[in-house]
Amino acid sequence: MTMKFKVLLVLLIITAGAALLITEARKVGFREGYAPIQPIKFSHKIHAGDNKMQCLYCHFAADKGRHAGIPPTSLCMNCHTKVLPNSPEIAKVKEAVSSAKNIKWVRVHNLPDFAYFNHSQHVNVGKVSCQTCHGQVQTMAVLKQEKPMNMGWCIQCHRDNKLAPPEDHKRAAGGDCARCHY
Amino acid sequence: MSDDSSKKSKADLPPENYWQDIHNKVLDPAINKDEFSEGEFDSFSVVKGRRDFLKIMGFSFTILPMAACTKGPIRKAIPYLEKTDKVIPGVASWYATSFEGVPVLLKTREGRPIKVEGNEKSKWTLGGASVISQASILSLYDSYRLKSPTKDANPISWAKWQDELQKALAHAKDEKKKIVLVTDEIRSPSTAALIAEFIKEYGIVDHIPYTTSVNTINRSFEDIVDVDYDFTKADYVLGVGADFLGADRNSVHHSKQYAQRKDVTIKQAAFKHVQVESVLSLTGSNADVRFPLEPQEIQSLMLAIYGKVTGTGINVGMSSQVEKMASKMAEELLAHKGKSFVVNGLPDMNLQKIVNGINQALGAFQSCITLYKNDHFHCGDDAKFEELINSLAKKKTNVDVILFVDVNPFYNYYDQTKLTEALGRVPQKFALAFSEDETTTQCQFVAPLSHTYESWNDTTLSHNEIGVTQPVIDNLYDTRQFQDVLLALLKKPDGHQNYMKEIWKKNFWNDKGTHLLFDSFWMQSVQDGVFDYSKGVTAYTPASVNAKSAADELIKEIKTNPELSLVLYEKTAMRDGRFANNPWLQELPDPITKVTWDNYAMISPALSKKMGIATGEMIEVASNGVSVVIPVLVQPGLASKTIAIALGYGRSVCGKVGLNLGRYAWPFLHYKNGEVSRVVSNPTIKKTGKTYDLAMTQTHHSIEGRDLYRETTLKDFLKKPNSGNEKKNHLVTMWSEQKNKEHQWAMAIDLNKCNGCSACVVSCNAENNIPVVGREEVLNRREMHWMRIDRYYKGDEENPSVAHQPMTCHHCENAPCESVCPVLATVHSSDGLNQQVYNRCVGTRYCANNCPYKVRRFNWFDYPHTDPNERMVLNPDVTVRSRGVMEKCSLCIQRIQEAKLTAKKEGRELRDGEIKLACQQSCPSDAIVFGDLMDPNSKISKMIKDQRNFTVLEELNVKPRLSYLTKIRNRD
Repeated sequence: MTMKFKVLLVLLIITAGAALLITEARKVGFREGYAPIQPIKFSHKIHAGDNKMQCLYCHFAADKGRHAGIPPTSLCMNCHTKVLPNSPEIAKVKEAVSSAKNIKWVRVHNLPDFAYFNHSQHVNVGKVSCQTCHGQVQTMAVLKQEKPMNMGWCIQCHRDNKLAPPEDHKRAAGGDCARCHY
Repeated sequence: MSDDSSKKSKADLPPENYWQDIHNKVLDPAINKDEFSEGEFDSFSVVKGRRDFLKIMGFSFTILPMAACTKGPIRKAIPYLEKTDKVIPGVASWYATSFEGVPVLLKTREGRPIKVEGNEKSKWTLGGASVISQASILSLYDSYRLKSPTKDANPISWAKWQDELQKALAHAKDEKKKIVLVTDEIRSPSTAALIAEFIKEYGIVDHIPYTTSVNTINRSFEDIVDVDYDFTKADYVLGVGADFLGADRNSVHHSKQYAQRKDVTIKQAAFKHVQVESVLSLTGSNADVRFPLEPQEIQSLMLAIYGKVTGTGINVGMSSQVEKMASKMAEELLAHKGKSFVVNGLPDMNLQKIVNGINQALGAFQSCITLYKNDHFHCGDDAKFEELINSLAKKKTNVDVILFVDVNPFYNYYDQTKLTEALGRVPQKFALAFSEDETTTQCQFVAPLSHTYESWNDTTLSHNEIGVTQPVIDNLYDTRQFQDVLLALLKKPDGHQNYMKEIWKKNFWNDKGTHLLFDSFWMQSVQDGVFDYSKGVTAYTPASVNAKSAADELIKEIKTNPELSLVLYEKTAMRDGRFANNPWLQELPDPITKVTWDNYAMISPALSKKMGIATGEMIEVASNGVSVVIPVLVQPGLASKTIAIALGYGRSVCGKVGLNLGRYAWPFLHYKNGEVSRVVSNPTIKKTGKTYDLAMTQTHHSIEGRDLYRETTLKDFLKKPNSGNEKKNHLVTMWSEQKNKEHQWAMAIDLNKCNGCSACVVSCNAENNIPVVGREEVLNRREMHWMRIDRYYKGDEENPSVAHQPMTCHHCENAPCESVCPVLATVHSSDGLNQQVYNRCVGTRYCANNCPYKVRRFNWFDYPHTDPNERMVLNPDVTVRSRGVMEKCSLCIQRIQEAKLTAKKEGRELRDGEIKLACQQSCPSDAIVFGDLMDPNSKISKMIKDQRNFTVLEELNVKPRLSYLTKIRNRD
């Protein structure tokens, strides 16, 4: 084995190692497929799928403000005083309302603090459907994060809709850092 | 290209020298070599050499991947239990209320107040806000607030506490002993009515309004009157030690009107403000002409002016210089008769009466000054409090119960020994207070007061407006408002809101006329935060202003001409020290001295030379057995034989922030002629040989004679609009032109309007979650304010011109910071903003080094906001930055984005003026303008084209988007 070959081999190993490290490291912190166990066995499939409830009935702030909002616990009781009033899961909701000890849901879709996202902008101005980002929620018995929800994924959609560079440099939308980071 | 003909013109001469302090006035290279010196980078002594460097680097590289491999946190989402109608998560609601005489709007997010803005519906303040009102939001969340009623420092319930108070009052009533109620100055109609009812119920109540603020004018007539000044009607104003733009209750109103008079775009008569004062105040720094005079010289000057204006020959011995001044001022005052007035700010009754005499002779009470009688105004009364203490000390009265409400005499009364002895004779002492202070520790029963933003109240703002205070958040702790305590004693448990309604129905509803139903009047007024009051006011015309006897008394006084005078004053932000536990106010650089976190003894450069004392030396100032050891600050513009010390420091019982900061100076005050005087004659000064570092911000950057500030005189400006702004630079560039897109944002500041009050700085703190770093770190030059106000002096160091220049990120088109960032963490946006991306920043700090304006701030530490109460003040729309990240002004990008979204949702274009930056909104002078350059009709486009417009360091051709309009002074 010549010296030259040895050096090349070492370099190759280092490069391959670094490449592997970087690819793996880039996945750290993203939670595609995240489906935590919730304190109440709530099924989006039954509500939004089978019973065809509107998303905005519960997440009524999605077209108004930055957050879509988790529905106020008493909102559940609008229906559940009549529907399945004796279910053990509903009992937990009842208990929460009557004892004022609120349910602590586990947040599924998380954005880091340094990324600003506004639901109402995407719903009203962008006319983006809920499923575009949240996946086919109406089929999910246990809610899970279907999309990667990382920056590349955001930008890709903006690019596809010609709202971000490189396709559209002329419009002042979408492409600047400070659209989301401030 | 250079133009040969212009070479010899004024424009090409070196700029007139501005300077920051005495040390760099003379451009001595030995002193000024430290432009980028020590300080910021000093405290890192871990790395000693190459080996240490390698060790630390090796460790960092291994540890980093491990640190990155943590799992993401599991975050909980807790919904509301019940749906609330008004609260939509992520959408702000605004409520009108008021704070310390400033009507404000409170921005609340998910029910918690996070930002104070001026209320534009008010005719009085026209949407401006003051430093104090901006910072008030942080006090609300102060974790050092009192949280429960106590007896002998042990928590008890409110019911029990009320019971004890009731019992004590009943005891006093039965024994026919006296009850004393000590409150702050009262301007609230409903509270005044309530106190009257309380007095009626218990009969033997002595109500003493106790305040430290100067209200000499209110008691200088036969009746107690309230006073409003109208600067819009005046062409000539003489200020006598009056800081009406700074530490004054009505500073916002005055600033608005003052700025209106300085607006050169409006065709109006020339406005001239002359100021005579011993201490360089914020107001004095803005005067067209200013004379530093000793306290005695001011007295003789005013006597002479009085003599000349009224034609009564008064003969006082004075220097020819003061004599000449008096003739000139009297002449000018008379020349503008009916359009001129004198404002006095010194607590000296005789002087005030003379000023009244001058104003009377000028017809000012019929034109520029509105005096009015106001039944619900309980003016601060030094004499009454003095009488109480004296009679107690002489065992003359039998006071059984004393109740202190939101006052702190055990801190700010001048003779603590006498006070302790006198009040020691009162068997039952109760205190209602916001937080633990010097007075609560002296009282057996203490109960916590609610914050203004947790209370109902009303307040007289002016002769034609009443402000409303409504609770914006439920009581955070087990607190009550003072009025509810009184109501409970009167067996009216409905709360102050209902009581207010009763009073309003009786007194104000009829005045309104436009509302058929009281409820609609009530709702409208609470929603607006202010309502018209002009019909309810009795104008007061002073029958005869008897200044003659006052003049005689003053002449006697002047005969003693002291070698040295000590003047006690209040600072713009700290005032009388009641907000000492507010770190935003503590860290706000004083508008004139730029010192944070401290008070000091100011002396003039002349005195400094004479006595051989320099800035930072500790001296002992003593008078009448009172002494204080205090660092010296050599302050240009101070009267040459005057020493000035700020009150409001040296709190001995206070929260963690304000505890033992600065030095306690209240004992120097003394009682004279019904007033607590703030002038001490002939103090002694002794050097101690010790030194002390004052945490000043201004010396962090030196100006090296660069052309930063431009000004002219009114005369020159009227001849030539671009006077003072002739200099044009030969510009070369290696950058391509910016392509113009949908919007191009820019900001401009009218230096003629800006008075340096610093409300913008505090507003920016609140809006952008800017951390407070503390005195040590300010000394290390690591303060974090995104906005700073540079202050320069020019000319004679005994009486310099003062210039205030707000500085923030200039959002340069050819930004030098952007080209040196190795990780593209600072880049330009398509609409002309210089963006700082925190999550990309790795903290090389190259950008800050390359920034010609020195406006970038580096997070040397984590300021994690772990206090669960104080973190509630954070703006959820702005990232809280972590250690190792650079930050700077973003031009309130969150506000731009919000306004753009509203416009988009409504399917329309953005309107000019729709976006208001935090600094711009709170500016009481409307000096800051922000807008879109792509709109040729926008206000900003017009300002950019103005002949007065200039940019700082234009020669660098970085094309800043922040520009200034020249300052115009009305002087010869």
